[in-house]
Amino acid sequence: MKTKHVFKYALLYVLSLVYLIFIFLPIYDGFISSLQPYSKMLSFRTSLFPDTIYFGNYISVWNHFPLSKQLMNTAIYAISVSIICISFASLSAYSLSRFNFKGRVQFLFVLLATQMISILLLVVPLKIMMIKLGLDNTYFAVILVDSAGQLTFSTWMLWAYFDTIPRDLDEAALVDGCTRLQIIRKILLPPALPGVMVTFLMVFVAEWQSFTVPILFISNREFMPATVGIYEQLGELLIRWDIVLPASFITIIPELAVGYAIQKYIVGGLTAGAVKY
Amino acid sequence: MDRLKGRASPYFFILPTITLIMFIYFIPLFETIIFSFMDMKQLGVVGEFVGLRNYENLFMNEEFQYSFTLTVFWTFTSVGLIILVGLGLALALNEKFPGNKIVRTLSLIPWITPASICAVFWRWALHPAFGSLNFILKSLGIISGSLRFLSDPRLAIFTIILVRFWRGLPFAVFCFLAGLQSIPEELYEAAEIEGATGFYKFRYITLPLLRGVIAMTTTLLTIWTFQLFDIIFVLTGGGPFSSTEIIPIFIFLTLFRRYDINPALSGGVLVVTFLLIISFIYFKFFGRR
Repeated sequence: MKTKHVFKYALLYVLSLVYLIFIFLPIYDGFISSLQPYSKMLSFRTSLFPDTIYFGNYISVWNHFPLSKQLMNTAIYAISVSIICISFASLSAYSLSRFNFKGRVQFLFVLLATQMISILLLVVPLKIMMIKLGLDNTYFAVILVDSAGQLTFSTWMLWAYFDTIPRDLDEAALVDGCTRLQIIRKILLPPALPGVMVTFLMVFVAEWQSFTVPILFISNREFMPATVGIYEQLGELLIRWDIVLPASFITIIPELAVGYAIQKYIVGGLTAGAVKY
Repeated sequence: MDRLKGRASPYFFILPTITLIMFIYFIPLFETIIFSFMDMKQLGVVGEFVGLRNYENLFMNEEFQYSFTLTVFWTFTSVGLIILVGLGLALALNEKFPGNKIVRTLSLIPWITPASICAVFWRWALHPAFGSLNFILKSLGIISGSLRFLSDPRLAIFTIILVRFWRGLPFAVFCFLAGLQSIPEELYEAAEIEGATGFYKFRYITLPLLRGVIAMTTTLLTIWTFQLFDIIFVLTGGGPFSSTEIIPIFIFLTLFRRYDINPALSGGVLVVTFLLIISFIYFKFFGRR
């Protein structure tokens, strides 16, 4: 019995190890290579472990490549989309949490249906609309399209948080003469604040990753987020890996930091969101 | 809920959300369908009605025929692999052993790393001379010469399936673990008293109770994989020689490289139809809502 257990544990650990090595291989490889001088990067691979650590690439990337500008754009997109989503979603989540209205099921269906479709499939009419509105190739195109894409998730999250707040509270406030908007602002949002923060940060993390929508609507380098800026560096003939790899890591650091802070909600949100479908 | 009927209408509160979704999703979807029956020569100029001609042209287009077959192969192979391996891994990680939580948390990292950046890392790791994958495979004696993972037309499609597998696996493992944890422990205890062995417990308790989660995960992964764009776009851009040009890439290339609007529209409608069929199958057989 005892040896059987040892065998089982050994198997589980080997499996976990193989899984983790597979999961981390490209990230690890990119990371250690980003810490090599360019000449060292472009020599035939003979080891998986670095023998020197060199930070020069990171410094030169930050100084020469328009990365800081593009990271600023990424931040503008992420923050704007989060703000729009929280504002719109707190209203719709209030409606879902407190009213039983006709068309509620249809509304939920519409929300879910948006998650089934990639913007790429709708790009022609969207592009026409953005050109006509003068929004093509501006921040607004990406912010509007990505906000619409994140609304389902944020409405779902806030709805769940609002449901945990007792209805008696808003009833009392109604009697005291509060308007509905005041109820949302003063009664629902304060106790739901941790939930609102988590939702905000999760939309932030999701929007930080945005790539397809900016590729479709942004061709002006001024408005490119870092993900697209890095893609632009991947030329056909020559790829400056000493630029691309450090830039990639700099880009994901803020997002991974936020992701780490809210990891237990991500796990919950990932599976809860999926199970709800 | 009804006790709270005030003067303010619930519709007022969903108005901003529904307006944005209408303008970004539903009106464009409607227009995509309408425009796919028109001859669109230029963005913003609605062409004349041509009936089904765009669809005929699309199906006669050899590039699209190849792209269609490739997309079906790519979707079912990658989703199949993710589901099978994901189920196995979830069963293993569901066992209680010190450190299993850490494994689960760490494996989330590919999921929250932007897809386009993941593709950049993979492009480096897959490099024939400088990347680590060739080095590892050679060190283990599996291959003798370097493989050109992304530039060999016969290999490239399998390479992108590998990367898709890499990114989809943690998601499947998470869904399955959540499903496994919702199965009451007593069922297994009762089965053990009855003398059931591991395989029977899996076949008659785990699998039936996990059916809904498996169906849901498979449906979502199929929907996402069928229209996946970012990873492949960064890894290969559809090449070499169109060997990884699945339908989303085909749509992008016809529209933005060849400025041909019609195939992008009719191709888009076809993908939407496929997504509807998949969702319909799911809701018909597994939906509870």
